[in-house]
Amino acid sequence: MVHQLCLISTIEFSNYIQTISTLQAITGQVPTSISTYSIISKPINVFKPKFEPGKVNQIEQFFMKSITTWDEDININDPIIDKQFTSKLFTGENKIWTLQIADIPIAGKNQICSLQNIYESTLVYNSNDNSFLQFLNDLGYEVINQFWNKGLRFFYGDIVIEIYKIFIRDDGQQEENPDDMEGIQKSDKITLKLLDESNGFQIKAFINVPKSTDLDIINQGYKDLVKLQDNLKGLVKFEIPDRIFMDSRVSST
Amino acid sequence: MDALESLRNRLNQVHISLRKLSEQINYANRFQEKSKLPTYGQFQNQFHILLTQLHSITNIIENNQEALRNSNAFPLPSFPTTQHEGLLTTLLRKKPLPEVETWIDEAIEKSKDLNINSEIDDEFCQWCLSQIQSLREEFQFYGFLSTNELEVLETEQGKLESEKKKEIEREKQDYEFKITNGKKPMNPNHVLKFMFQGKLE
Repeated sequence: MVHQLCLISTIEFSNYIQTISTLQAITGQVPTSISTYSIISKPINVFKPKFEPGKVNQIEQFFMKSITTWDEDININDPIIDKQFTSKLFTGENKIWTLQIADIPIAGKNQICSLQNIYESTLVYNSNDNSFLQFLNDLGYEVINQFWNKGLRFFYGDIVIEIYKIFIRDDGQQEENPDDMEGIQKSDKITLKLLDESNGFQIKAFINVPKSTDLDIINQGYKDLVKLQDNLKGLVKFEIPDRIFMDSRVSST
Repeated sequence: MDALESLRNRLNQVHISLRKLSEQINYANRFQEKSKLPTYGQFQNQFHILLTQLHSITNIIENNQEALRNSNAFPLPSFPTTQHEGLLTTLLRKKPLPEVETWIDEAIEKSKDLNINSEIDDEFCQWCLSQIQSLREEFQFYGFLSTNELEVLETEQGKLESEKKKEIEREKQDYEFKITNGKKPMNPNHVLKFMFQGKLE
């Protein structure tokens, strides 16, 4: 389990180069790249405990994210206009997957940043017979969506700064060219498009803390984040994410 | 007397800031996993503070140079001279310690090699400053363009040029519009919602 302190913002495409150069100057390092593929899945069997007075009924079901690496060469420095991207399908490969379930961020007044518990487990999936989707199914989860993440990562003291774009499957493309569809499926490729069509970037600054009870480190984290927020103000306007949007409980939807 | 008192305060300040610095470093060494070394910026700040403090001390000493040189200190009759003879000689010593003397000699020796004449330097700075001020009085500032540039803008040639600049600006805007589709970046909260719940609305 990690406890994550986080702030978010967006970067317009025209500000991207400036932001990257600034971050390089502040952190004094060349960014590492992020390239992941995530499956969002939902429990198949709905758990509905009978409500009885006096009994604790706070058992929730959560969406689960399964994350693995994605080796596709896309240069996110270039704007993406009317370009087609394809990606391999991920089923049935020997892959390392990270399963992740996130709690709803902690509520509170006068917050400095969002505080969220995240539970993770890493799994080396080595079966050649069954696909990973089958495995998820056996686990009791069905896939509801997927996304591809491409970006850069900076480290600044304890803070991790990630700048990324999200890609999603482009269904429209396939419907428009029904002739190609077969070809696409045969070659195990999916067309992708940007989730955010403005070519803008998402930026996230976070600190992971081992325990939610370690107040010293959390307070230090607050200070570091506020300092970063202050240093970058005028360039990036870091905000506290709305906890409602980060709620991954099944019952909340 | 006032000068002596303020000198004492300044020395105390130097002492405190030096001790604070050494404590910071020691603390970082002792609890390496818990705390971090002060950053470069913090060191710089501390150093700056020390420099200012030392500077004001030298100022005070310099202003009272005559008085300090010509006065001698004597213990009061009530001071237990025999018991604290060692302390007394330390307190009343006006000559620098031998090691301090070698420091001073070394510093003088080194500064000879550097060939710096601070008085001429200061004079030069003063001269530059006065020159800048007198030069500034000859100009008046309105906007970012000089009179010549404004005159060029009035001519045909100038109009063409500004037209061209606008054209370039417009092209740049068009290009950016193509990239962004005329949209602002998505609200980060909605992106997070997609990442956590797999849907946008």
